[in-house]
Amino acid sequence: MEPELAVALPAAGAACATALRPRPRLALASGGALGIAGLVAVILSRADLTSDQLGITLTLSPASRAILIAASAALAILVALPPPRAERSTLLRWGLGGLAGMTAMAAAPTLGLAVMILLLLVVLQASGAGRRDYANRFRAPALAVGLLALGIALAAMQGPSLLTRIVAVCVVAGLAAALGVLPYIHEFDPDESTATSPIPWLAFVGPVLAVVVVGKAGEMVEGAEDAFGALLIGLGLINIVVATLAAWRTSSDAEAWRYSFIADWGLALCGFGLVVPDGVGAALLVLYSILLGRLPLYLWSRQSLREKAQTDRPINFIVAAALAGSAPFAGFPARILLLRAATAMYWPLALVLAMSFLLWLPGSLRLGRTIGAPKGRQLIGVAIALAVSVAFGLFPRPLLGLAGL
Amino acid sequence: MTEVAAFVAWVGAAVVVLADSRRGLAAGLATLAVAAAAIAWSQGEQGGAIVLLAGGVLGSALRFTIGPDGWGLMQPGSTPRLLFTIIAALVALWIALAVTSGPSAGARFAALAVLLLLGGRLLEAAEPAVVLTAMAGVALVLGMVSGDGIVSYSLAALVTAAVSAMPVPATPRPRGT
Repeated sequence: MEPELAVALPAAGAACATALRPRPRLALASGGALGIAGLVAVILSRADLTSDQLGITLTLSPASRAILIAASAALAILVALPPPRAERSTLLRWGLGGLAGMTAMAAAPTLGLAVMILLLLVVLQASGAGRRDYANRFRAPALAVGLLALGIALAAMQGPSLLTRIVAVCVVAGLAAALGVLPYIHEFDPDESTATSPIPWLAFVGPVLAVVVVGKAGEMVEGAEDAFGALLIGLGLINIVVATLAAWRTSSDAEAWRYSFIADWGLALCGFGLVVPDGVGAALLVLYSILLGRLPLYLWSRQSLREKAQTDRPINFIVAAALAGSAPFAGFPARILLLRAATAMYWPLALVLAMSFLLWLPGSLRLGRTIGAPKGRQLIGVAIALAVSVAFGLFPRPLLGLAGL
Repeated sequence: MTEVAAFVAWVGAAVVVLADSRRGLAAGLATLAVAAAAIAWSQGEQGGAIVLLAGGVLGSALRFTIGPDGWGLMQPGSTPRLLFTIIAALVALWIALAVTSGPSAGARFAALAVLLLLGGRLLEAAEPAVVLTAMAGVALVLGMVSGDGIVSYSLAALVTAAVSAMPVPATPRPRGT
């Protein structure tokens, strides 16, 4: 199936859900139908199939296609089992809009086109009614667009080898600013609606954006691949150490959740920086676990975060184990692959990474308690997220195969 | 022609940096669109130039109708911004002429100067109309540098117009007197 349909169907779904906002059930039905059709189009858009009906060659790489499928599944779970106080049609509207943009970025032939679509997503997200100032919501993602644009402009010029290294810095800094990881953490208001908060950049749009940027930056940083990889690993390690400690020590539980996303991103950035297939595989597994584990669990914990309810039941410890990346959950094979890749590249890095993995424990125990005592729909959702995480942890190979690894 | 267009691009971006209201912002965006189209034309992309000009002019017309009233050019307290426009131009000129090489130094200068100026404006501005105009300008430059032929020019024109058409949320006023 053509990649154009994979972009157009969720976009049409988002438009329908927006137009039918006064009638939420109709909005949900039409948006849901178009969203499912969009997911089918993504699944059927084989990685080797290209389309040039619009005058450009559109193709979905195996890795971005796999992450898009995971993002669609995450949205489907959240719409089917919405968190308390969240309206299904609103979740679907924002989610389908994001999915359309993400698919368009993934299918774009060059980074320049992908950044233009990112720019549009930044403006659309900032147009929502958020609690933060407009400029504050806009600033970090807009900086990301500016840095990526500067990198693209410099990559188009001829010059000394230092210029390629500056391009690598621009691309990595732009990616960090778009995701909202250190050193460009977005301003966060725990009471803001998730759609207009920085969480979609970390946990929904971010995974596809990272796969697209890292995948397409290869030819821009030709000759400076080592510097590009080293920057990603360095940034990843800083994010792991700072964010795991912050998730443990920060006073606000919602902030702790946000830092836990950033810590996971540290792992993913290290994986992308290691370049070898095991490293990339580890990064993709971390992204799967963010999309299908940490994001739904965060959304289902928001009600107990508001009520400041903390419990020490067995379910809280199981959730903590999943968030900490212990066996048999999805984070475990990701960490094993990362250690294997780091050992193959430079063994002292594996030592540092192995020690840093311990830092996840205190923060995860804290986050596990914030899920409260889930009941009804929320309990089903938590059980599904844990079951998916166990399945990915025990059988990671099909997921890596889906991503072409 | 490219050198003149590059200078005009800098003027357009500088106006966006120095303006705080819709007329000034619209004038800056229109100037930038004319310059971007001229650079595309000089590189043999006549179709792209026309599309880029259309998108930029449409964006500028939309900006003319949305945002705070007036021109708002060089209001009190804008001296640091004026200095910034000059320093950014000098840095861009140095990189375009001395650090980098290849054909069309003018296009290189235009891309760097506009990205530096509008990037700085994005970090400093609080007014939604200003932020959106700067983003529209960045889209125009992306169209110039991304190198996908007519497609990148068309997408840049669409994005410029779409960003300019976005409704501007009311800026919260400070409480008290």
